[in-house]
Amino acid sequence: MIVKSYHIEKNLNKFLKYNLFLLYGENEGLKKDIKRNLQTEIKNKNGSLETFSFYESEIIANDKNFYNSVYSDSLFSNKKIVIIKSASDKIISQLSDVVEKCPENLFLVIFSEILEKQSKLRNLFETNNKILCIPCYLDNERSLEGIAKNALRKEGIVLSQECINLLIEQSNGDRNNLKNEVEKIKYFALNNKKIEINEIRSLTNFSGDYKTDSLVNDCLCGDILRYKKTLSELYTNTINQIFLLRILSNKIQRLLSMKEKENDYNNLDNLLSANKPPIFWKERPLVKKQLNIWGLDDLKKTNNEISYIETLCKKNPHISKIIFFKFISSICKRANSFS
Amino acid sequence: MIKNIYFSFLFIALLSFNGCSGYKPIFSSNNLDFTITKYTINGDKKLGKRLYSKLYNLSKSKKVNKNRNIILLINILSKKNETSKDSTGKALEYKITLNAKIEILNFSNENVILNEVFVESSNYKVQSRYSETLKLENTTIENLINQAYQDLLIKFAQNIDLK
Repeated sequence: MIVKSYHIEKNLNKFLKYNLFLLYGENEGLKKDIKRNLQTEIKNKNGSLETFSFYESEIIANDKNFYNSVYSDSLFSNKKIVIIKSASDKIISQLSDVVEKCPENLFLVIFSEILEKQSKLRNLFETNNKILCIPCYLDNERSLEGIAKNALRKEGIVLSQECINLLIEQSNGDRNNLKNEVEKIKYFALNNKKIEINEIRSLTNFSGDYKTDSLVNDCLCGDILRYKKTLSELYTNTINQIFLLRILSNKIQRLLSMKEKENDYNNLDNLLSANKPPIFWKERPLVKKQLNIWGLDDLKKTNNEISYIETLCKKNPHISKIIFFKFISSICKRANSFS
Repeated sequence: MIKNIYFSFLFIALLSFNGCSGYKPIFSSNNLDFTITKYTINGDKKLGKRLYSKLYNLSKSKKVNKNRNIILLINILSKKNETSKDSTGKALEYKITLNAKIEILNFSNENVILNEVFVESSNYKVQSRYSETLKLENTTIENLINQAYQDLLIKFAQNIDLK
């Protein structure tokens, strides 16, 4: 059964009748928070709790150990929580067995990275009503702001809204990163409770890395400021320009096919909903903006240019980065002039 | 029987090898292999030298056999204009424009490979200390030379590709 993460955060007690939880997605902080809250709630309810942790590789190497921990009773506590980290489809048979038997004294929490729709593990948890599947997407700015304000209030630190916005920006949509930054500020603020924006700037740094397609999306949206910011945070030596050109080409081809069908629909929302393969809900506003900006002829022209630039990059590997960045910057400027 | 199968396989293999003739792997090509055989710098010699040294370093960076000898003609000029002043007439911001005319000729037949004018410009604000303003001015010029160099390389690669 699929449950939204905010439902779990709001009322965890309601979900304690379920024993098995799959937490998947990119938001590590949210996953940690849910696990921590779950542990505290179970401890409060039952008095004692035993915790076991496994990595997927450990289960694959020796599943006996895992089964022993899951099915055996403990002498010290009547409830136990088993945590599996970095789980994937490789341990589906072991997990199916646990789901089938579903021991009463056990809480099983499974941490996974992003799972595709075709993932067997995700399907198992989504289709079975006795177990929970919780997607953990990146936090939005509003929820991050709440988390930051709460954490700062607890420590008695006063920060301006500008500073809080900067912290949110640096956290890359993950509350874990935000909490790490707040922790730094906490120690810095031991002698000085009022901190200025410049101090925050020098204290904090951008956490994690940008997704490969965020640069391409910023470029197609013509958002020069965001494009420059993403570019400055990227470590350009590790960029695979051919890979980025393929992403750009795929996105432009998708926009092209949607532009061609635009007249068959009343509005852009219907067009976006009818598109196949379906567009991920988080990407929808960006695609909508791109459809408004780009015309059919411009898309066709850019699509042809991409093929030429790709050949040029391959023919001149030692200046391919220069060619790529000049090209992608020109597309961003063009998109900005259209909007 | 086995001999017949062997010969038929050999025939198909020969056909497929022959079908590939004329094509070469794109990644192994190196378009920008060149040696600067002769060069002339006109205009601002200091800026011209900086641009030339970048191209010279690029030509020296590869250890493959260079079969393209070129003649390089650089004519570069920079211009500094005030873009804003305060009420007392003191300059607050400057605009630097770099005008680089580059001509690249094939050394063997003197055919023109590239003949382009690259115009780059950028603004910078006057700082409280003169030394800081000077530093900023130098950084701006360096950035402009880099931009002109990058544009030049792309045009050079494109022109070689067309020829």
